[in-house]
Formats: sequence, C-alpha cells, structure tokens
Amino acid sequence: MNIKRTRSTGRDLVPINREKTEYGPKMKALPNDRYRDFVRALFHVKPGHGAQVRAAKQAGFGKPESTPETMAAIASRLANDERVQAAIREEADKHVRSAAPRALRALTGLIEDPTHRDHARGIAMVLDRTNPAEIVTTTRVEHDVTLSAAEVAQTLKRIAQLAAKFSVALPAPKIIEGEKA
Amino acid sequence: MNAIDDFDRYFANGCERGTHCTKGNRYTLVLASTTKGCLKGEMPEQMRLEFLQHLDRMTDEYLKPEIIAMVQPMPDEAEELLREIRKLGPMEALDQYADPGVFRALVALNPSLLHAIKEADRVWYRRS
Repeated sequence: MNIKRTRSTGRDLVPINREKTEYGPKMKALPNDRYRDFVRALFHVKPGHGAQVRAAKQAGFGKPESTPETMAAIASRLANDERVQAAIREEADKHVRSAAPRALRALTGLIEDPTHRDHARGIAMVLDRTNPAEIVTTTRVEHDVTLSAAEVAQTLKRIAQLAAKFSVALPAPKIIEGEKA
Repeated sequence: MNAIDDFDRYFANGCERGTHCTKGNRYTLVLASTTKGCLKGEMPEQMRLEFLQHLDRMTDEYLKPEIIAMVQPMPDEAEELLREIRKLGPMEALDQYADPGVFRALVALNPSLLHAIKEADRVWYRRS
C-alpha cells in the first residue's frame, strides 16, 4: 500500500499568544503586530539554518504559495531592519534578565559542590563581585608642542627655498611694538 | 589680444604641433593657482610649509617648477567660481576645473594659466 507523504507547508505552527503582553518601547515602535510576532518568534523557533524564515512564517509573513526564495528575501529584509534589530536587543535583554535567577541557582550549586571542576573559579567570581580589589591609577599627560629653535630654523629655511622655487610671495613679517619680529 | 581670444586661437588651432596640455595638467594648474592664493594669507609656518610641499608635488615632466612658478594666484572673482564648483565634490570639481568651457573662463580671469601652458609646450617640444 502506498502512503503518499504530504510535505508540511509550515503554516500549521502554533499562533503566537499576544494576550497580556507588555511591550517595551522598541517593540511598540514596530509598524504592526506581525513585526512584533516575528521578533518574539525568533526566540522560540528551532535555531539554525532557516530560523528567520520559520519566524517570518509564524508571524504571518508571505503567502502559502510563496516560494522559498521569496520567504528568504522577506526574512532577510525583516532581520536587517534597524527597528527590528532594536526590538530584538530589547527582547534579548528581557530573556537574559529572566534567566538570572536560574544562573544564580546554578552558581550556588557550584559553590556548594567542592567536587565540581569549576568550584574554585565560582568562588573567585563571587568574591570579585562582592569584595573587588581596588586599583588606583594616576595618569599625567604632558604634551609639549613647542618646536626647538633648530626645527623652526629648518622649517623657515625650507619655506624660503620652496617659495623661491615657485615664485610665491610670502607675507610681510609682523611688526611687534614698533620693531620687526 | 585679450586672454579669451588668445585662448580660442591657441586651443582651436593649437600651436604648430598641438598642445600637450592634458585634462590633468589643466586642473593641476588651477590647483597650483589656488594654492598660491591660499599662501598669501596668514597661517602657521608649519601649514605654510605643507602648502608649499603640495606645490612641489604638482611638478612633473610637463609642468616643471619654472612653469608652476609662472602661475599667478587666483583672483577673487575666479575663487568665487571655484567655490561654487567645489560644492560638487572633490572628484567632480577636478573634472570641472579641466572642462574646456570652465577653463576658458578661468583663463579670462587669470591669463597666467594660458601663459604657463604655452611655455610648457614650448619647452616640451623643444626637448622632443
């Protein structure tokens, strides 16, 4: 018996739940909900090759008859949009912050386990943050732009040479307090 | 003969063997004239030396130092024209300096440009 396999169109993905969603300013600045769904989907779809296209489809971009090349172009355009990138940074920050309690629990477990290979490193990490060593550095910069008399003479000599070579009239020397400089 | 007539006669008919002055030579002469105009002003000596070194780098087998020395600083009316041209951007401005119509206008305001070309051709063809 032949069983005909039908390729999934990818359109039967679980729709994104927007209820009771608090958006930050960058997410709110996106043009519409589809863009916001794209950003949120990027954090949920299977990572790897094609992740942006999967997120674009889940957000409702493209049509059922859109070719893979079309979807790739749509996903690329979305991912490179400055507003989308700003919203991704905002959402990523939320995800990192929400992972902080888990990270702290793991670190506590590491410190409590003397047999863990990173036990000492974990202790050092905590101590560095709670009781950091103070380093005081004083930097003094002295920049002397004064030319030496020899350098000045060399410059003036070269100016005179080139001015004579190209018949360039030099301005008259300045007169200071009734005497020539 | 005024500068415009002289220019038309020289570039329409050319001298006997034609002018060797290329587009690059034309805009170099304009730059040399502008540089000499800048050198008339007040500036630190180190900056003056840099401008003079720019002039030195403009010389080649055709535009010898004595040819550059013949070029007079750009008068104010010509500088006003060049200021407008510079708004087009550095590369486009160079093309415009060398444009026959624009260069003709500059020669009318600064005849030393044409005198420099005539002398450069004379030296060039004498050498060859």
